[in-house]
Amino acid sequence: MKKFVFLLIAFVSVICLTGCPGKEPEVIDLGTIPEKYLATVPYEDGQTFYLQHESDRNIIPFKVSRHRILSQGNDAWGFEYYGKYKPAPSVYFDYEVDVTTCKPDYPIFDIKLQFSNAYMADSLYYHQPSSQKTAQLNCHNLYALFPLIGEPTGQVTMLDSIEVNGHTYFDVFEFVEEGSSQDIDIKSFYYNYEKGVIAIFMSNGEKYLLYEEE
Amino acid sequence: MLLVAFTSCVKTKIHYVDNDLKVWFVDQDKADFMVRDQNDIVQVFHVYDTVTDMIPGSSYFLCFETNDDLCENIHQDGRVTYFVGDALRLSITNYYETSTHFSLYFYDVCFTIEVADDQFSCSECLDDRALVGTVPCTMEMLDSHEVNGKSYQDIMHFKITDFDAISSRNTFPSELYYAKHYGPIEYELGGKVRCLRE
Repeated sequence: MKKFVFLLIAFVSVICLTGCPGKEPEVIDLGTIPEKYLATVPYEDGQTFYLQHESDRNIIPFKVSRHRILSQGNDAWGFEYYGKYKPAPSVYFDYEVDVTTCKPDYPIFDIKLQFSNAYMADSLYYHQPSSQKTAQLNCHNLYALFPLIGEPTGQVTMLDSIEVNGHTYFDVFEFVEEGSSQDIDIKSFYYNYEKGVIAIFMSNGEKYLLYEEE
Repeated sequence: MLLVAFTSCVKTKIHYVDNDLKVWFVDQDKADFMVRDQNDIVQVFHVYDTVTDMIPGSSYFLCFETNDDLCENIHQDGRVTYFVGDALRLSITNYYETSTHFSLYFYDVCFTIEVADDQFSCSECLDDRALVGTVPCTMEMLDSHEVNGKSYQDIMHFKITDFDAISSRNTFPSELYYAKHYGPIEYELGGKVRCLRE
């Protein structure tokens, strides 16, 4: 009898220590980013666009690099972040990230635009409500979001039109940076779906304006 | 017995950086300044105060430790608009009175300057960003150099002659004038953008 009890305790202990085999997490493929969203960043890989520094008519070429990267995320990030409870992720999502980097042929700022179709997953940590599908814009001190669809919110406003270098551009997002520092920062940034970067105004009054040949 | 005698005599010796070298750090009243390039694009430098560390080490005689050494290292960092990270770092260390490590990082390169008998020399610099070894350069000491109508005294003038390295990046300095107490007063990036201190 003692031998039986001992074996039973040993068996239960082994089960407790090793645990039950977990369920294989589900993987949901979110597919590719829809074409209508890709069109909100109007640059192609290898393309060059030009910004003109207003004070001296210096024209700076920006070389575009654009790639789509496959990525994977899970639905357990929130729990892990707060460190209270970390369940095994039950669902993984495969999604695409579209990354556009614009590098100047001059020692000034890069411009980076990035968005993904992770918003299609309700519980993914990249999730944003469908009314706020947004792209990230990074440039020097500026970090901003602009909508892939729908109306802008937060620090972003929509201008009907703006005139730059003799051209009129319509439906332009205006990003205004209100912080101040001793450095020279971006004060406002102008962008639209058709042309991309249209103008950048610096805190010291310098301006970089889209240059298009006639 | 002999071991006990030696170890009991171990003293702490501090090797300080020579005061004559400290003049190459940027004075705090000159730490914020602007540079303007030939196309009128302006950038702002901010140079932080110096930081002093003591690097521990030991001296030996016939395998016996004779000193607990502390080698003084003074360094100073600075940043500039648009450059990610520190664009400037001057680091001076006195190693056991036998050698002084004098390194000047500027944008993508690090000039390692040899100091001997109050003479400075530098024949190559490290491409700090590409991590692919050294690039030949020249260095001369100038009594003075004028920038934007202001005359600066005691200048280190570096010039890099490897055109392929220079033309590869806009953050690669092809020339630098560095003044005592002031730091960078004039430089050229990528072989084409010349910046002058205001």
